[in-house]
Amino acid sequence: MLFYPAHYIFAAISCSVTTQAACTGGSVTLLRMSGSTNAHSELPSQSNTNYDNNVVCCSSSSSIGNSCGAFNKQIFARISGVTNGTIQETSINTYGTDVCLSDLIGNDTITVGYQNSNCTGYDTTIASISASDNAHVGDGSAYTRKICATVTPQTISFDLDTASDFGSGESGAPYSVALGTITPSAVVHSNGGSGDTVRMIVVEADTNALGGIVITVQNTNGGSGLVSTSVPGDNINSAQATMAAGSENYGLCVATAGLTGFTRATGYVSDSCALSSGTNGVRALSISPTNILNSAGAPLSGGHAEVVVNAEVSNVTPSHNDYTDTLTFIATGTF
Amino acid sequence: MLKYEWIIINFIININFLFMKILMFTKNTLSKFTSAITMIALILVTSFGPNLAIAASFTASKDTATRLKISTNADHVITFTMPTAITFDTSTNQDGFQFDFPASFVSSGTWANADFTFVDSTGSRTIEGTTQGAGTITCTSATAENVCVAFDTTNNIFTVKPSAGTFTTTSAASAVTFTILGTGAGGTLLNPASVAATNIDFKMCDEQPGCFTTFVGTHSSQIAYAIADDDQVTVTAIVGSSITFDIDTETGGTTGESSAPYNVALGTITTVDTRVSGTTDAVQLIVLEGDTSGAGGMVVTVQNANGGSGLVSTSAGGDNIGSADGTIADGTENYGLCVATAGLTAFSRASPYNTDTCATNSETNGVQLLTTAGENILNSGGAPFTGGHAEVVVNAAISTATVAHNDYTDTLTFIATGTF
Repeated sequence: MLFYPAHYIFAAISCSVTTQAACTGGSVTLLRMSGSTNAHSELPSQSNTNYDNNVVCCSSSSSIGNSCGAFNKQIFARISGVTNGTIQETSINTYGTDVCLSDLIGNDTITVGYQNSNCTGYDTTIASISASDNAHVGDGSAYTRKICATVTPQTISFDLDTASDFGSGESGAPYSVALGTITPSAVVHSNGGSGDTVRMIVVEADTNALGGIVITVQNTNGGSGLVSTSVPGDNINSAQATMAAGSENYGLCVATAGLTGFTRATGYVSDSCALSSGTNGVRALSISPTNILNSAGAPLSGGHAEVVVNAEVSNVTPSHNDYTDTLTFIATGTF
Repeated sequence: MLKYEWIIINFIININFLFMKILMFTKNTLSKFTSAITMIALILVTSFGPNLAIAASFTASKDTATRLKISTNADHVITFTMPTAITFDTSTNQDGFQFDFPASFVSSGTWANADFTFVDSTGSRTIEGTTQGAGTITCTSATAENVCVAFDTTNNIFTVKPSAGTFTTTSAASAVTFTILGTGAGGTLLNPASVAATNIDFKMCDEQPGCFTTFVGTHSSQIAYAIADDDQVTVTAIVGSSITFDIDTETGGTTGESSAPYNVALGTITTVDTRVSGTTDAVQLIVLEGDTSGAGGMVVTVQNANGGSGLVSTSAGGDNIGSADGTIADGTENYGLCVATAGLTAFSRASPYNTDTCATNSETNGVQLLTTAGENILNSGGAPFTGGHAEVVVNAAISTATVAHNDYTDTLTFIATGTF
């Protein structure tokens, strides 16, 4: 089950106008103003006392700063001088003094922009300006034209579910799939439809990693598959094969239906796989991590995959009521 | 050394050479003296002043962990690609790396050299001088090409420091892998206790003085770490008990299917014509078939109604054809079973039947004494099996003293037992 509060995933920067003295505790001054409206501005490095009571003070879960020399920075405005300046939007580029939002984390994404009325779509409002050029400045409510900013840190979320109603909904840990009693007459598999008896494994993920995400799976018993707890020498093997009644095997496949955002990784991509099928193609499980899903090397939003667990026994598969295996799924983003 | 620094230094020197040439042209001695001073000062500044480091970002950065579950120890394989034009070296200043885990990770134990690996463009470097402590960001590596690791127990920061001896530069734009064995016997690194955004920062102190006293991160990147409430799924299954057992006595001595009741008619036995199952005498074989999923396999026993008395006359209960261990021969009274070695599938012959020479149609088979208590005749070698098939041969011979009757009979009972 996914517990991420939204602000953990998307948050990043919050700005307000306060006094210089109050802008402490890791907060950063981006701009100093002579008033809360109809004001001139000066660089954060200046210290004229008449600018002390109206500073744009920002805090962030990232390592933000105001350095225009930083590798990772965005110019959010230009002013006509280091102090007592009027302000202009960056694109006009006739003023020689830049004011910047920077981030010590080289791969965080900083976005600044201008829009009227509000900063919807951004994290925060830095300030508002009376015009696009040669403008006065004020706090976020002073003028219609807003200077907006977003800082996006690296994010990733990953979740497994094995819903007790056999569907693809949310469930809490611990995650388990009980295959029940397996006979040589029919393949047992996650079925996800009416008359369900076996849960599916739902894999969900999101990331803004530029290189995307890879999900691996490994198991405890490798090719020995499901192993009897009481008689460890007895097992239900795991091998690459097409499942068939009476042929002992155990393995996973990823249903092609219900696959959102994710791509099935090499190996798994070629298997015929559906929740309703007793003849799925499965892969041999391994104690080494093996790719099962990826996002094709790109950021992923709303990734959802339904992993089908398949098992069958033969007439010679020893009878036990304690066959078990543990699957471990690992998500890795490349940032 | 940052390539850009050389460009900047050369540019300043060239400017000064140009300035000097202009002054030489004016032949103004005072100005020449002044310019020389200026040039020297500029060269001194560029040579001994603060080095410039152009900040950059690492690429292809990832942390492949062995576990993502909350409150679980995990190993971390952190891989990244050095920025273009940035090298990890010891020229002028010792560069350093830091891997900064949030406070939500919990470190325990004592970190040792064996808990780390560091692989770069030169190959795998040996770790030495691992140390840890509150605020510790320096360590000692004196052996050429090695690195040491310092762990700041207060801030969860691993610092990698290059050897003070010879150190071959880690190439620009090359891949670097730093591994933390957080599940071993030395130090351990426990995942955060709750599912929340978790980012691991790593940064490089490049060409800065005092990287290991006040680490200045000139290049940096961040990896998001996918903490989950659990990363494992337990799969369980039951294989039920199953066993099948069947007897057939097809007419004509063949091995096909037949239905109950099962019987073997030996016909008329003479002292010169031993009767035996098979097509020659057209006497039925007793075919036994079985399957089981019993983990301990299956055992088949046989017992008879008359024990060693063998075939007993119904009308004259004292007359019989005895059953004893032995080899069947014309003129020698005996009656018993054996299991043909040919046609035996999945089953094994059980002791004492396993030593007999036995074939269908043979009138010299070895047979075993039948008993009312029963004894093992077949088994599956202690394992589950499928498609078990055995052909039991019934043998009977008489002597000249065997009393004539047309109603000799015996009843054999076969019992299959699975061990689950």
